[in-house]
Amino acid sequence: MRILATYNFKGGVGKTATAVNLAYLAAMDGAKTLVWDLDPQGAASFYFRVKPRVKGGARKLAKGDLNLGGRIKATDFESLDLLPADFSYRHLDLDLDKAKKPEKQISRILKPLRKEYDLLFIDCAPSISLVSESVFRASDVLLVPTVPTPLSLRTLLQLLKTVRKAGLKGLGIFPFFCMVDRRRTLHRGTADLAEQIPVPFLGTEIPYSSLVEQMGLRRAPLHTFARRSKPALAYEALWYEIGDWLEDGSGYFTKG
Amino acid sequence: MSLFVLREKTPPDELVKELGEVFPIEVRKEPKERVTYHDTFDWSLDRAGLTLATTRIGRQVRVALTTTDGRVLDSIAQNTPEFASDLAPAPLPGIVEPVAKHRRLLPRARGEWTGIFISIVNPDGKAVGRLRIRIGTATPSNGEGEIDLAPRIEFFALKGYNAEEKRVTAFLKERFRVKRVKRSEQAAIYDAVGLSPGDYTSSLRLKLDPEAPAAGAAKQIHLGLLRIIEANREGLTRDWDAEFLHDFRTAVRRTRSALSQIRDVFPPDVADHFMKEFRWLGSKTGPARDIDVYLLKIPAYRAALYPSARKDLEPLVRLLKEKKKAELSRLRRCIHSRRFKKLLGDWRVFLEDSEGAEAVGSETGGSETEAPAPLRANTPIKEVASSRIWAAFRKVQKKGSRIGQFSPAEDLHKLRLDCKKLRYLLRFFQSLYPADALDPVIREIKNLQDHLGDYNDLQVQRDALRGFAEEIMESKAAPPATLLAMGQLMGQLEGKQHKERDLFHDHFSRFSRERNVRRFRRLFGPEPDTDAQTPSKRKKR
Ligand SMILES: Nc1ncnc2c1ncn2[C@@H]1O[C@H](COP(=O)(O)OP(=O)(O)O)[C@@H](O)[C@H]1O
Ligand SMILES: [Mg+2]
Repeated sequence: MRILATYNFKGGVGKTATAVNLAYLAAMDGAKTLVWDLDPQGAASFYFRVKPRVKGGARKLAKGDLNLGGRIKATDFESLDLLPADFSYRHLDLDLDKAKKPEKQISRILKPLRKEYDLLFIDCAPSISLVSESVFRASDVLLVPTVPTPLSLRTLLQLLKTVRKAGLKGLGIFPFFCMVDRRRTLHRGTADLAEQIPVPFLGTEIPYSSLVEQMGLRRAPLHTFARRSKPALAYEALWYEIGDWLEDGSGYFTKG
Repeated sequence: MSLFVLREKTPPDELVKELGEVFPIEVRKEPKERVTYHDTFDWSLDRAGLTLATTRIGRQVRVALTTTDGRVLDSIAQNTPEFASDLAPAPLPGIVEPVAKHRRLLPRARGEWTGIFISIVNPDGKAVGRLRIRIGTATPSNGEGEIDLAPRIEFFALKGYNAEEKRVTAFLKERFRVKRVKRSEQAAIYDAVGLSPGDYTSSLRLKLDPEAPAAGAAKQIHLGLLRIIEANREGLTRDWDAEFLHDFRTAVRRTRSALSQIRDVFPPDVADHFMKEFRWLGSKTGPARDIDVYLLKIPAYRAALYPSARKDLEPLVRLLKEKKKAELSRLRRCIHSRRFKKLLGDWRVFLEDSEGAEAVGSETGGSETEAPAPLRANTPIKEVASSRIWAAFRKVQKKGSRIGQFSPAEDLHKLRLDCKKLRYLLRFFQSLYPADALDPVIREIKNLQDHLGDYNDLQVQRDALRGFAEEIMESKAAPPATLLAMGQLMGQLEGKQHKERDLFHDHFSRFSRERNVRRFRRLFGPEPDTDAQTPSKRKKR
């Protein structure tokens, strides 16, 4: 199982939209895919129409005796499952603090699922905490949706610094531009902006589109209602780019 | 997925309606599909746990192979596959070919299905369970008569929604008294049209009673062979595949062998008459089978040549196909002849007439010791079997030991026929002996027989190629390249044959080693001769 986390310190930048749409595309490609909604607001669960409720919640999760497999819900889509969010995750950080080696807890608790799924998308809450550190340690890749503004780039630099400090060498960091609106002057110069960052951006940019917002109304991945639209095609291109990288060498199944 | 059937009386629409009153549902009708289920005549796919179904979609055909682990491998083809080699892409042919071999994938029955797909949703519009109602009819492969099937309900549980699954299945059980089943759609269809997979096999599955009078037991054996002859008649005349003729011909040969080997159990005039008739029938099947054998060898011949020479064999293939056509129509005429029909009819009447057997026995029963060729109709079959097998074994022993380095191929051929007779006897009487004791005996004879078979086969192929080459020469039907390619093949065959010949001694001494003789003697040998016992031993008793 390869683990991809969508992550940004900031909220409202497209993390959840990315996790949901990419997971859907991966599942359509035939990969056994799981989405873990770790954000107490439960946006990903909402998109898949699953109640954001996990028995035992943050407390059991932090202690490491939550049977994750038994909490999984099938989505309406073939080979795509979901671990829903729970409101208690808002204090997951505090609970985790009481655990032994909290930074390894996420990785540990995922162990039984490793054989069952090819891919896991973790949709994180916008914060920097013990939870995010534990997620980083478990993950192969951080997908960082970034709105093309100077302030967002500063946040990205901070993230890179955090990761470097934590000594997470094996973790791939994949920033990409998101909600790109060509009518706004700042957004036109994404290439210039990208140059200020020491890691390469993915080539694909996700355009700003009200169709993405409509996912909230329809409660479904973008492709189920606007398959040929610009943002849908952009998510596909993004998925190909990431998929190629994942398959390169070790495939979906091992941590590369 | 769990599977249920609906009791015949419930109309599926009613179920949908009532289900909708209890659970929020979304309903989608599925288009009608016409599925043909395939298997070989000897049910090889079914035995291997495979299901092969084809569905016509416009001008194309969807081919669906269900493997033993329940995986469905789908593919689209231009035509309905007739043989395993027609299947594509991988891994389909790789799975089916080792099972079906050269046998035709016959359409065994057809099903016509319509479906209603139902999602059970919660107030969020999230599916919490799915089910499909399949409404079908079954039609036999000859297209006659449609039979309604009990509608089937497939329930697809969704992970994490067990409570909903329980509620829905409980509702279905209580309200509609649905029955949980395991049977596949194919099995339901076969059942409806009266097919039972596995009902044909080319082996005799007999259970003989060792004490039974020989005449009756022999009739059982012959009836088993007659069943095989009759079962293969249609496929043979339609030339579905080469195996029909092969099984037919082998059963005829075994019938002749049984008639001559299980001697003195039928009235001599009766035995002579049928012997003559079956010899006639056997002679009619020979030429067509020979051609089949060469046609089946063609791929191996091609492979044995350099790639550049492979196409040179085409004229030979053409010649064989022409010959096959001619031989087949000759054989068809034989099968449709009055003589053939009378033979099978008379034979069956004789075999099924148990009165006759007793009458035959009682007439001569008391005079067994006096008559020069006593009828053994009432002798227990096991006694007859053992003495015949023992005699056949001794014959192989004697003839084999006389074969030396310079003996002609003809002698090996004769020995092969004697082995075959022994093997047939062992097959006929298999059920009279403990399987674990018989297995090594059969293994030994099979080993020798296979070796002799290979040797003889190479000789026959060489002779045949020479014959074909002469024909091609005379009719000027092919360029010299064809003859050269055939010459090359003959050279290879000769080399192989010499190698095989050198191995004869090893194979035979293995067969005739003391241990194997003891095995045969223990199972089939005569009781220790009482006359040879010393008088003192007798006194002791
Ligand atoms: N490419 C886009 N174009 C327009 N709106 C978007 C786009 N991506 C996300 N949104 C919208 O922005 C809001 C925040 O997106 P979301 O994916 O929930 O971000 P995050 O998970 O980072 O908080 C949502 O209402 C979403 O519909
Ligand atoms: Mg979010």
